[in-house]
Amino acid sequence: MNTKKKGKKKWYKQIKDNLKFKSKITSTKERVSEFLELPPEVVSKSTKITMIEDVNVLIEGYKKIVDYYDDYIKIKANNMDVVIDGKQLDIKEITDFELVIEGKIYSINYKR
Amino acid sequence: MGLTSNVQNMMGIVTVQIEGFFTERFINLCRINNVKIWDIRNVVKGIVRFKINIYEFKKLKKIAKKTKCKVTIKDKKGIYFFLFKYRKRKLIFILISLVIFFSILFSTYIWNIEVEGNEYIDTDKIITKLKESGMYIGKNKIGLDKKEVVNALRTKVDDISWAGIDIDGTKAIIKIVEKTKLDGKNVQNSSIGNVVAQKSGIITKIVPENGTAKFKIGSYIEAGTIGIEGTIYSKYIDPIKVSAKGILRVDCEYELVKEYRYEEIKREYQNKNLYTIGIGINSKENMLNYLNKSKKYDITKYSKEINLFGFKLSFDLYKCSEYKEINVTRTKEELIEIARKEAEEYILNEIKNNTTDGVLKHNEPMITEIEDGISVTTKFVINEEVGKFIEGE
Repeated sequence: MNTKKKGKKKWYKQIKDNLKFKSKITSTKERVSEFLELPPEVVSKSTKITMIEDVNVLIEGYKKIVDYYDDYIKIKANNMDVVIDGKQLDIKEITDFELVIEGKIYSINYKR
Repeated sequence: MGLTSNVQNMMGIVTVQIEGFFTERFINLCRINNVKIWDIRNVVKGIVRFKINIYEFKKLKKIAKKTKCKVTIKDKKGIYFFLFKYRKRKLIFILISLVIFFSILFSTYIWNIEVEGNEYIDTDKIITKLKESGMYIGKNKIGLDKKEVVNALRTKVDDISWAGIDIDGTKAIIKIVEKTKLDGKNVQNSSIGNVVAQKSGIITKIVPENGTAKFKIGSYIEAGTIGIEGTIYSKYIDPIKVSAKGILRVDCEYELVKEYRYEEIKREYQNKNLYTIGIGINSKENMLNYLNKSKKYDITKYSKEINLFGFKLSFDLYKCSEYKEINVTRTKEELIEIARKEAEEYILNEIKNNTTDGVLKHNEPMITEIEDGISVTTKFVINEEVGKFIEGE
């Protein structure tokens, strides 16, 4: 009887161990999103950057535009600052949540 | 949301230029105050151009004051500005209102009628009867009683078992279900008569469904002879006259005789086509002829005919394909092969067109030598249904 009890762990303990195993995951939101297999950008306030070749960048989850020049745009995102270098950079679309930048893009840099 | 914003954009879009030290703040404030701006372009540092809807333009005043930016309008587009520009030209407004009025007015009429579901009833006939029933091209949709039209159509065309009218914009779609027609075999004749053989041959099957068989299987029947008599004989009662019905199948013999020559003149087309035109007046053709008389042509005519005050005018296009005549010499084996193929084609056509449920039973070619060629006689037997009901005693 004792061996059986030792061999079988209770289900909630198994989940707890699994969550402990992923030591990188710290916040509860991230743990829940990992457990439910949800994309992290949906649950937590993170930034998603999508780039189409070197002409179009979509930034989802930004806070504000810090600097805006023809060849340089600095954006304050949720966890970092994003700097886009390029030529003839236009803000094609701007909404509450996302920002579309168009033009000839040379580089995208970020700083936490 | 999307539709309303699109409509708003159609009404008017303004390209705005802002000048100041805090252009980025201006853009951020626009976002915070729910002012939708797009196509933001930095002209030089401190000068930014963007597009905005005219309905939200007034909101910029407050933001401009806050950020100390100077706002100037660079471009205006949209219906609002167009109408404002031509506000003093009354004729344009009258024309626009007339166009709107007439398009609304004409959209209340039926401009096209489509008939669906008819197989054996002619479409033109249905459209003609529809016109008589009260639905035609140019009829106003308002006040049209579909049920009444459908009922009238059904009484006018007997073969329609169900009809429905579906109006899609200015198009009326008439959906029809036709009455199922019984084929000739399944119709029960009410009149008295016999089943008569249409072709001569040896009987292979005789099954009287109604009446009395006059022949036995294996006997020869002449064309026009009664196969199944329309009388039922009984030991106990007098003969009763009935409508004869039944299956009468016979083996019919056919013969195909054709001669083939060893030497034949054949046309070889040169892939050179010439086109010419012509006019025909009352079937008299006048072709613009520029063809080379030393060469030979195969002429195909495409014609469009019109009737003009009793004169038949036809505009013709002639396609002239150049060819050369070549003497072809064939061997006996080749001629036999050609004859065999032609006989096969002939038999297939014969079975398809001139027999009822015909099946080929026997096919035998006989070859005889003639001067400059051969004569091929192909005898074949087809088993087919030859009985036909003929009224009379």
